[in-house]
Amino acid sequence: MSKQVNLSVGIQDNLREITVEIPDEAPRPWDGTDKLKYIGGRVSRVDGQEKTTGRAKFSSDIQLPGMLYARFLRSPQPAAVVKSIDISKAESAPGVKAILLVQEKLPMIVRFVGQEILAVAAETRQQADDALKLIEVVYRERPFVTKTDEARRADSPVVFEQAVEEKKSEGDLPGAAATAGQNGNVRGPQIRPKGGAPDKVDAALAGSDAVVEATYRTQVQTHSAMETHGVVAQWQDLNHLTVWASTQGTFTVRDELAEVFEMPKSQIRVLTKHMGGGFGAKFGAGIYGVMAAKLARQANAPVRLMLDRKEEHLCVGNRPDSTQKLKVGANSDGKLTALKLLAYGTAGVGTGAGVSGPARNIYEIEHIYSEESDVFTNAGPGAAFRAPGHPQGAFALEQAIDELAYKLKIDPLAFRKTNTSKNEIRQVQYKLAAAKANWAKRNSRPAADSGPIKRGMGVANSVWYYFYGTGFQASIQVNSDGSVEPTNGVQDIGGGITTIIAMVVAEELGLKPTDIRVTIGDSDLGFGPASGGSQTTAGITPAVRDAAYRARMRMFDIAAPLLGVSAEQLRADEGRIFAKEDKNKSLTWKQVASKMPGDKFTIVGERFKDHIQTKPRTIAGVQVAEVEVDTETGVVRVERVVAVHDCGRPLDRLTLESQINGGIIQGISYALFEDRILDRNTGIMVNANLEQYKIAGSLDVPKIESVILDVNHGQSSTGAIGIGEPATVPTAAAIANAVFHATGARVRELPMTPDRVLSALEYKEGGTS
Amino acid sequence: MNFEMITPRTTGELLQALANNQGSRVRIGAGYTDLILELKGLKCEETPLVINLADLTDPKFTHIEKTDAGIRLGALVTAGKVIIDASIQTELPVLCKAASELGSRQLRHRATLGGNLCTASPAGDIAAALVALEARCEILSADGTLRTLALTDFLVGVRKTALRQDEVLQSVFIPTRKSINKHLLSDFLKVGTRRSMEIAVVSLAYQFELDAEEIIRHAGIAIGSVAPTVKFVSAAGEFLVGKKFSSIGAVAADKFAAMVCAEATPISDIRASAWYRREVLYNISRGIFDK
Ligand SMILES: Cc1cc2nc3c(=O)[nH]c(=O)nc-3n(C[C@H](O)[C@H](O)[C@H](O)COP(=O)(O)OP(=O)(O)OC[C@H]3O[C@@H](n4cnc5c(N)ncnc54)[C@H](O)[C@@H]3O)c2cc1C
Repeated sequence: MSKQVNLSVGIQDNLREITVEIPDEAPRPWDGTDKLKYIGGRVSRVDGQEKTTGRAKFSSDIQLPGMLYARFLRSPQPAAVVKSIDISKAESAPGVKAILLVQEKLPMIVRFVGQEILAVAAETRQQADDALKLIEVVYRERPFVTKTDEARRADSPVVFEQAVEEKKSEGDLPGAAATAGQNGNVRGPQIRPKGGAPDKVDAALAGSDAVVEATYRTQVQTHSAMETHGVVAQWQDLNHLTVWASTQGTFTVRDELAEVFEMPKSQIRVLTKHMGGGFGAKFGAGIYGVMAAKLARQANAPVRLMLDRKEEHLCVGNRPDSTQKLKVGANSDGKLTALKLLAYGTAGVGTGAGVSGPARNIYEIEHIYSEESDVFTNAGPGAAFRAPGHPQGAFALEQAIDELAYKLKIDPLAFRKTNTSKNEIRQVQYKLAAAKANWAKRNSRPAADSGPIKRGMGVANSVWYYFYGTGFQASIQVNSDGSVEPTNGVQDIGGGITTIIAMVVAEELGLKPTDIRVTIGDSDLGFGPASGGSQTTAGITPAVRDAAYRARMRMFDIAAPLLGVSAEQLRADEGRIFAKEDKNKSLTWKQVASKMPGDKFTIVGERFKDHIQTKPRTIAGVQVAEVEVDTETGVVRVERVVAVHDCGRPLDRLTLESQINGGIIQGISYALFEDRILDRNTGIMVNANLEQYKIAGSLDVPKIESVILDVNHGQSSTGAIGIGEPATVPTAAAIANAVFHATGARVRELPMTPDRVLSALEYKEGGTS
Repeated sequence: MNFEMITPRTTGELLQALANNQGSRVRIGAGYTDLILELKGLKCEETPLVINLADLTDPKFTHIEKTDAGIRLGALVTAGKVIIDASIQTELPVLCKAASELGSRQLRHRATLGGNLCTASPAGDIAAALVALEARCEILSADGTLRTLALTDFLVGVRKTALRQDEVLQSVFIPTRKSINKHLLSDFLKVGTRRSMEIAVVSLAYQFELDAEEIIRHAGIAIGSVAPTVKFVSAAGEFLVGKKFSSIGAVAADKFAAMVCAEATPISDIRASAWYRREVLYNISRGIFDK
């Protein structure tokens, strides 16, 4: 039933042999010695042309005959009770076909500006918008709070009277206070001690040669994906619903709709052909999805409900803010002794403001104590956002580590080396990063440049985790004309999984990626992963390879008698199937396909558990940022980022690099620009657009040099792990450390705006002179 | 967003459109990079009516004209056109620099000089350069008469100009200063966070005329985003006149910077604090003389 195979695993060329047991039917996993044709190379996106020419159809491009446009009426109040709603004028307005309340029975409580009250479907979007203006809502205003610090006070208005159940989505880490109680607006704290009780940690800190302690603050960041949230919903008949969704999870959307409408899952079909980004905020059907389907049923017509940019900022997710009081100790030998983290943050009316991942998972520290709470405020709910909690946590931790290194007069990179000594991968990464960034040439003294423009170089570590799901089913259909069609329900959210699937199949079958017709993004196809937790590639590719491998075996069985050799002697390459020993015994892939019984065959491959059962393993990475700080204006320019990440076995280096680039660019944007600003007097977001909510533009993108570290772990048949999230974790921290190196001033608050940087410089001067 | 539109093709049609359509619902449209946002945000009962200037072909509106007396720029000249114009590059380099800092490439193709002035933003980049250059506005009214007004008098407040309801801005004129042997020293310093698509948090436009001995003969200086309108800072300019540029030392530079800041009345908003604006205005003013 099973066979043993030897694999060469390890970091880059530093390989060792291991033996693993795999099912008889499974291919030998790719390892460090395999010489592959496409896998590990640089293959352009198979759908690149479609996208660049505008032919690719996104959910927001779907147009159906008779389609209606739906818009939400949203609360202008941050906290209120809806007493009454008068829709009579709107009902008879031109084009209006349906109006539905989000909560049918009043009174309804609203808790943030932008909360959905009702939705209108009309023949045009303009008519829907016009109709909204005719609706009269009577609100009884209630006291509210938008500032995290104010919400923590005993006398603050409370956002929720009752305890709040945590809503989890795919790719979410547990909220800060998953197990803890709720007191006023504060949920928690969740306490996670390691290496003894809190007093042990305090004692260890007290006994350390050097201690740093500071408070760090990070802002609320909104996901701001290019394509907004939304769906087009169409009922085929009363029992069959089709939804085109801009989603990271065709199946998670389907499942939520099935639950809401109490329908069998098989009667709901969710389609996502192309998708313009999600970053963690697009898993469920959402109120917009549910309301669109309800309106479509009511109006008996397809309904399109895509949010606009303002709604996107207000209502559908954000990275919670954080306040982190962090104390870290070390001895003069350079060894960390203890760490204490007291943190809280607000996910608005949502949960999930925990930040302790980096503090607990990067360094070898004997005593760690962390205490974290969620604080409710009258603001839109947080949602999983590219490495939830980690950019925040790294911003504080990696600055504290840096500060401690300077205090002990140890090079910040060497200090990190010492305190991650058992992590083989990190040790290699430091070496590569130092070489690429020319770390040795860096002046060890901060603020060494004369003149108003000062340059600096800073380093920070990243941490993420290896996640993957099981039970995914990839099908491969081989047709008698030789065409090959892999299918799976998984969506391509921009990461490039369409291309990866084509590559895996082409590699296995000896064909070219462009020969493979991939169909994905359809919940009627085989079960596939949601794209969260950086697990799409790690999740689905083993199932794809499994199916491709068995399809090849089937083709060999067909070819063997035709060539007069046994199937074991056959190979597939360059579109041919041939005998290994005698290349004259050869047929083209198409010739063999034409001889199959019937017209086609289909094979289903499945994602099983990894054959090596490692415990949750961390994914290591390190980035070095170089900045220029104008000390007259406080403007920080990132000039260069060197990134070294554990990429498992790289499948497509091109899409992999794109993920790293994207993570870094989003990290820079988080570090310097993005900030959701609420007016504390009204609860209204004052920069709910892309003009004043600033995102890094192309001119703000520095030179990015990524070193893709090949690590053959040998855990699955493709050896893929995730990169989407790890790449954004350390960027802001590395920039902050570079700003310190340039200027000698610590900026402990994000974003590092010119205003804040200039104040930090001023404060530093005031403090030392 | 609903609106009606009239598109005159000749100045005659324009005058007629102005005469026939007056009232709070009328708007003038040029490149629409500001106006679209305004129309989107409107919560008025009446449907706005836009008099669209985009199709006017009258060179008075669309051309850059150089004569001995000076340079005249039509209100419909875009930032993109300003940047590539040879006479502006040599004679009005501060305007060239300011135009090149506006928004992004896409935006510069649409954004007009007239729109930048009529929007009357305290942060207008082109406005700052033209104030430093002491430009004069040439205003056409529905009855066909033309009046001129100093740009500093044209900009009366935040988003407020001296334009009357039946008027449009036709062009701006920058007279040539008759000085001998001059060479120019100029820059447009725009401070913001991003490198593009950024409205100035603080800006400083200056164009100095130096004679053969490096003596400053004239200094036009304007500051942006630190007062309700772009402001011309005359005292600081006069302070420089007669001084040799290269011999302005730290003390004089400090004094100059303080004089510039004396004209600033910055506020705190979501983009920056008043403290920051003042601090930076001081630093960049002083920085002109850093060697
Ligand atoms: C994303 C973005 C970035 C921007 N970045 C910058 C920047 O960096 N710097 C900057 O200064 N500005 C910037 N702006 C603002 C804007 O682009 C400029 O002010 C531009 O010059 C306006 O010109 P327009 O032709 O588009 O004006 P419009 O939008 O057509 O008009 C603007 C206003 O002027 C009036 N108007 C226009 N022409 C006339 C005329 N001839 N007579 C009478 N009234 C007239 C209109 O009625 C309207 O009130 C930006 C705008 C956007 C959307």
